[in-house]
Amino acid sequence: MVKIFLLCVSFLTLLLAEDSQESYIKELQEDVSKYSKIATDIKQNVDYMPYVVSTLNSKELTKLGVLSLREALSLIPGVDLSIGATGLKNPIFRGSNPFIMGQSKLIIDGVVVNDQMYGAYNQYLDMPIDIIQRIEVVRGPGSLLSNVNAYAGSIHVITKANRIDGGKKEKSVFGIVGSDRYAMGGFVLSYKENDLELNSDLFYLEHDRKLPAGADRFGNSFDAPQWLDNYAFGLSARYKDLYLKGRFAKNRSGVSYGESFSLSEDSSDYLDVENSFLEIGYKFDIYSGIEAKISVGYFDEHRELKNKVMPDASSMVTSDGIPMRLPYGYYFLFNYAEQTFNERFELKISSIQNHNITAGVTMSQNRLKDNIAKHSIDNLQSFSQITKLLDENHPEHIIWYVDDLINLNEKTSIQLGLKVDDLSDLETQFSPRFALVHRYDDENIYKFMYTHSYREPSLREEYLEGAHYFNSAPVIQVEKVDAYEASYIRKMNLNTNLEFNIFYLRNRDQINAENSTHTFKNSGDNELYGLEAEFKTTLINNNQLYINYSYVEGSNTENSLADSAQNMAKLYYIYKFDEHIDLSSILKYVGEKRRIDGDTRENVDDYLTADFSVVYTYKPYDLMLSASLKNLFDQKYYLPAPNGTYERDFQQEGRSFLIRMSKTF
Amino acid sequence: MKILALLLVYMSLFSLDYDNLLIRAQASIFPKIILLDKNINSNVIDSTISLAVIYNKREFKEAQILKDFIDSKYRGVLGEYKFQVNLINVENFSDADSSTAYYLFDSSDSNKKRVISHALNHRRICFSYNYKDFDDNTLISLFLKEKTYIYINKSVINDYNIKFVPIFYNIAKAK
Repeated sequence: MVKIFLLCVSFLTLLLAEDSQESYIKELQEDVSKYSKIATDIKQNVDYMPYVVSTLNSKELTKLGVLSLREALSLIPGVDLSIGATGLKNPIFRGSNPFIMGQSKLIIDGVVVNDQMYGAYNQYLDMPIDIIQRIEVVRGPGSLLSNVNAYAGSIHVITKANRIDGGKKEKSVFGIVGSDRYAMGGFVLSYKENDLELNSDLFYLEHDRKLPAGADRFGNSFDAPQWLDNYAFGLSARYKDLYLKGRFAKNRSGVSYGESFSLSEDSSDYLDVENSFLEIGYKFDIYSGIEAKISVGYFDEHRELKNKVMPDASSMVTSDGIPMRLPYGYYFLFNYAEQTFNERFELKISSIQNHNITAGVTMSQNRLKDNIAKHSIDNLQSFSQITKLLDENHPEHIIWYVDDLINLNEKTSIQLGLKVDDLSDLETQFSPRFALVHRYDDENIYKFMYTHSYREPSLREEYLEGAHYFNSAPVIQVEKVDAYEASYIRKMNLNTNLEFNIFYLRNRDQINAENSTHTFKNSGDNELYGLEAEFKTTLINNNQLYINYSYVEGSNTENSLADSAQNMAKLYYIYKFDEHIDLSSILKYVGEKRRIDGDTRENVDDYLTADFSVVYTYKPYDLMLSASLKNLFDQKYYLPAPNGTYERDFQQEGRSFLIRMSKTF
Repeated sequence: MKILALLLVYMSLFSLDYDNLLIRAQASIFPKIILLDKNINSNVIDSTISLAVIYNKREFKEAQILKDFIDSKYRGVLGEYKFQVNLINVENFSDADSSTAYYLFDSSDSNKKRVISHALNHRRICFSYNYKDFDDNTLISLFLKEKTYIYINKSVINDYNIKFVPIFYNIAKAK
């Protein structure tokens, strides 16, 4: 009897032990899946995935004394800057079309913020690093988001308010002062109570920078006003599977080099840009391994410009061919506002073994709320013309997309994707993508990618009617690209990466307004090819070294690689002096830039800039104090002025300093 | 030859910048692996599983982070056992140490090799932050690639003589 009892007890114990082991195994598998997902979401494992991505994190950028998103982007291989009307700076990827905006997309917390008017996102480039958790930059048209059409590149900014890696949310205050009366302050806040999570950030910045410029189209030379007042408020809320995120920003700036590439005699001229976006979404599991997401979003932007575009006593020829003298010069003003609503339904399917499928549809409706251009030749006493700025808009856009990342085995994954864009005013576009990644072993990774993509002309390029300087052509086609990219990554250890990329871009129907009537039109096809190399390592004592080099050849206009550097090299080094102090330096070399055909000016000179920073961290109080010298050697350098505008190129900032303080709670 | 020597000197200057996500993943996953040891009871004292996180002067911050992650996740309980994480400076490591399992950030330190031998000789699991430390005979590590991989060091699995529940061998990957 006792024996039977003991046998039963042993049997039961064994069963219970097996049960608990099964539950441990299940938990283990759930953890493995969870961290795979986080690593994929935050691109931690991107070296093993089919993209060419550079990731910058706030911790590193802070140690480097990097101030803004724009400055951070300048560290990415193959990324250069161009300057357009009213001094708007536009990142150029791999030399691709520096004459228009919108070839790259800016995605903030998963929301595309390029506007419809210009395709621009420059109003976000002053966003301080202090509110940013991470920046992921994809070179080439393969965006990290299945529903986004990138063309030359895409920039994904993850703010601290929307950190999704499960790490500790930040609460901090920060402030910066510097040259040109630069002053910036703000905070990041977070609150969590059970299932409710609230996060927000806010910053305000101002400066009164001005840079020497000239001679402009009228022979004037004086300082271009680049002052800026900028504030933004970001908000993110989450309750269980329901989320809301938004950002509200306002920029008021000087008109810089002018809407019509002429210096303004009127110091009260300004460009106002107000924009905001809001997205509400709900995620739910339809079935184990099938997640659905429904979201609705709203984006609006309002731009208002007042700019004296021709000086006193200048003259012009009217559209009827009559010469006209302008004793009070010529003012151009516009008041423009766009609104976009979008709705998205997306499925993520991971229940099929070795497949990660994303499929969905996004519908957007765009409308113009304000659309007025005004012209005055009597010092704003009256308006000689009041017209529409645009004669039409892009009313509707539907994107169908599907993307499957297939892990064939531990060594090989492929990605197949297709986007179909149904545009209400242009031909339907099909954008396929194929990518292959072969992990020869954990240290040697090979990638090959083919992507076809397109860029829809901005409203300015397609429908501009009442502007003073630029025009649009009656018929315009989308820009198209076939991109072939190959990449090799050598991981020398967990913290040391060597990466080589080569690319070939076949661009068609490139748009620019580099012609005598400043009319945006398709100006032909071209090819670009080149390479990028990156090396990053952590040395002894956690000192960090990063260096990259990029080279591009071919053309971005008819016969020339214009306004874009063929060679660029960027380097930074962070030296951990002691437990509290980090010293860092950034060196950037940007090579000579050629001109567009017909522009007889000398090439734009190459330049080398050096920045230096000292960062003091006092861990017990989570306090950080830093001092930075930018352009340490006061190198005089220029970005290209478009042909027929300014005689000389646009001189950039000389030596400047910044003092920054932040406290984390 | 000189170039090679210089390269070697340069390579020796490399050090690890610890990845917060990898530490978090390991903090969550490694304790569960301890429970999959079929003979766990032989290494448990007073119904308490103890994980020794071995650190040197440079690694104290990361060791504390790992401990904090584990403590906040497990709150002193692992399965049916009590669970404690002890930070042990490698210089103070005693050959009489009776921890259930060990965790190393970096095995290049010669003192750490002593810890690995101790674990191996006493059939106790030795985890490492970096699977490259398998060369120094650690047993289990974790790596984030396109998926999360639990690596098990096939060259020493027999020497450790630890028997895991069979299904674990389907999840882990021999390396």
